[in-house]
Amino acid sequence: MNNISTTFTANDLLLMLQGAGVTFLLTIVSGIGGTVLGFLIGWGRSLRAPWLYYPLGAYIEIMRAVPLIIQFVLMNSFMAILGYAINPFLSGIISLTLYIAAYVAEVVRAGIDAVPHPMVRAARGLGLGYIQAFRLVVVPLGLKTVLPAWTGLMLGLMKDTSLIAVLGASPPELLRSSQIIITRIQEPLAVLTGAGAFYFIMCWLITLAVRRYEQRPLLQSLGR
Amino acid sequence: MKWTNLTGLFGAIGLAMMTQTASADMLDDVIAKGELRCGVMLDVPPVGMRDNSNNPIGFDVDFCNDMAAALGVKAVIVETPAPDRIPAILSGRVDVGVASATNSLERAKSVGFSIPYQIWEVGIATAVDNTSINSEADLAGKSVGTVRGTTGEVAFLDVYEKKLKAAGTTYTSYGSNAEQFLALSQGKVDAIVESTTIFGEYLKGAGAGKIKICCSMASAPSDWTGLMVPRLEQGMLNWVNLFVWHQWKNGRTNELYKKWFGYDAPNMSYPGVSSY
Amino acid sequence: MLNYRFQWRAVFKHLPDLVDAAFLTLQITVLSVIIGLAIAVILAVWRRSENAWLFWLTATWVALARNTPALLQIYLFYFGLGAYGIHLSPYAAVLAAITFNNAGYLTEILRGGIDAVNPSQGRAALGLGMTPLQVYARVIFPQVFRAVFLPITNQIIWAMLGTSLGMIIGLQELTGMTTFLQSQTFRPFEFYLAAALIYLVMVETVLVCARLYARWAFRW
Repeated sequence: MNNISTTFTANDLLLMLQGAGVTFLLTIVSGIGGTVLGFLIGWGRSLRAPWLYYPLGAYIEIMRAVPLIIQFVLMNSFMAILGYAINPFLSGIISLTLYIAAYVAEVVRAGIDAVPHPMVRAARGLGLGYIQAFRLVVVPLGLKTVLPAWTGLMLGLMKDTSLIAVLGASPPELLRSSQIIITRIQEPLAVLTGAGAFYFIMCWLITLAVRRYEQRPLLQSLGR
Repeated sequence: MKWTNLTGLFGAIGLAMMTQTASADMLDDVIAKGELRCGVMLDVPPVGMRDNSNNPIGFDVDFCNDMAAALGVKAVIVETPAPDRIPAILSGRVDVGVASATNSLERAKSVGFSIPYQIWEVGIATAVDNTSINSEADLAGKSVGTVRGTTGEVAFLDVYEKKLKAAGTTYTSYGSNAEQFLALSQGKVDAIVESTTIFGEYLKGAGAGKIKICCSMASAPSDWTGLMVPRLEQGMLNWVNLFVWHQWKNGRTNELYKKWFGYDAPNMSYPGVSSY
Repeated sequence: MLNYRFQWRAVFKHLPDLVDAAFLTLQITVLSVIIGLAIAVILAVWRRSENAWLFWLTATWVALARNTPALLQIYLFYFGLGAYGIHLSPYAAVLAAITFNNAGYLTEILRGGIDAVNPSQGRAALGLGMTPLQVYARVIFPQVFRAVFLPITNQIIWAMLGTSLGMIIGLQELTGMTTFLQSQTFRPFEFYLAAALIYLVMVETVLVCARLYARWAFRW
């Protein structure tokens, strides 16, 4: 039975590439979900209504105070004892979304606070409604200030998706597929260095894409 | 009896059958669904691992396939790493855990264990050129590597607390066998303590010419493992127990031992006591 | 429906083990932030240096620390150096990796803080007759410190949570200890919940101290 190859095969490379794809997918899905949720939380906190401000604040504190590994395991076990047989992959996405939303919320609030109040009052004075003023003045101005911090969060998120490996979620993401290969060929160093290079390239691509976006005329015209 | 009455009767029976399905036990559910989902650890060669095309293979995988065949259903292998073994069973994401789990009384407070289906021995391995460690007692003053939460670690810790700690032995508890083997081959630890079955597999592959099995952990009790089902699924447990017994009776357990571990299956009943 | 009964007895029995492990987590966190900050100050200054070598050394450090998973960094410090015969203990390897990571992020934080100070202030202070050292100590540093205080607090918390990855290479810190105990009892939910609570207490302690200090120092 022992015809197991102990060298790195073409199949393994394929598995790692597929893993990189899953990492990317996880990042995008939970990144979008987390940004939407985080935006709502950050906006809710910026209203400064006590009944909203403190519960949301507590949520943010908790999500930022517990290691993601533990959040993954807890979410997975929690779903289990509630009797929901959702697979670890989905429970991982839920964990990642809830986790990154807490960070996004803080960034969003900082962005909203960064827009000078006189400006908002001026917009309201010109006859814009609350939503219009928010959409036309606060969002574009805030966006400019939060974009670097938000990019940082998304890069962090991509690296954090690797922790989903503790659940053995299938299909495997990049780190998990590396571990699968390592279990067979027992060469952790080479495989992990390769995985590191993948992460590095993906981070670099995202940074580049955001920098492109930042240089769009609309954002440029808003100036410093 | 009029026809209408008959229809009513059949209707009532049909209704009774439908309500019956709702309250059926897991065994009925598995048969009705036509698939048996097994939770298997795939990072513990040779009981669970992946082949060159990354398909699951190993002792536990075969055991699951046999069980599904005996039930007349399709086998579905679900990978459950150590921290997911229990949540997977509690949530009903898997029907049965085929994950080489030691049947400790502490664990049996959380899940239901079958009768033993594998017995593991704990051994000590060193680098191939190591001449200073020839018995368990020689671990005094050396550095030792284990894998967190495994029986090897528990057996080692027992001796460690009693004797070795005072003699200056240090130990490191790694995340998985991959790290443990790498630590030994890099000389970070002098010896590793693990199931001899796992050593055997490593010796056939990447560890050939690098490590040797030095000796058995004489003080360690042998490690009896069972299949796992939800604690309240007594009907399923009865069937699983009988299945494990039949695997023995028809020689399949021995066959799997030879195929994956390379030796005959040890006697799985304890002398002087019935059942276990 | 919730047909699960929580069993906390095992957790209470092992609480001393968890607390011991939490102290180890705390210890590595404090050391890695102090050393990381010291390195970051040097790197942030080098980052502005004219010397191309120093500039590129800093840029590489920052890029590697920020763009690869921390788990990988821990692995490389332990097994990567091991392949060349340099053997760090798990404790030293985790400390080195988290420090390396901290230094990268803190350098960027400090750079941002220094950039935030208007350079004309420095020139003005020089014009008023201050020595360059005085300019740094009295004018630049207080402003930089204020700007970077909050991000550094966040980095301390990140470092604390990051130590949990050390369990892979055998560090018995809080997460590692929790993983060990749950595997013996098959009570993952109870043990991980207890660990989450301990982390929460530690993080909140850091945050409350930081906020009190900030209120006192910057009158926020």
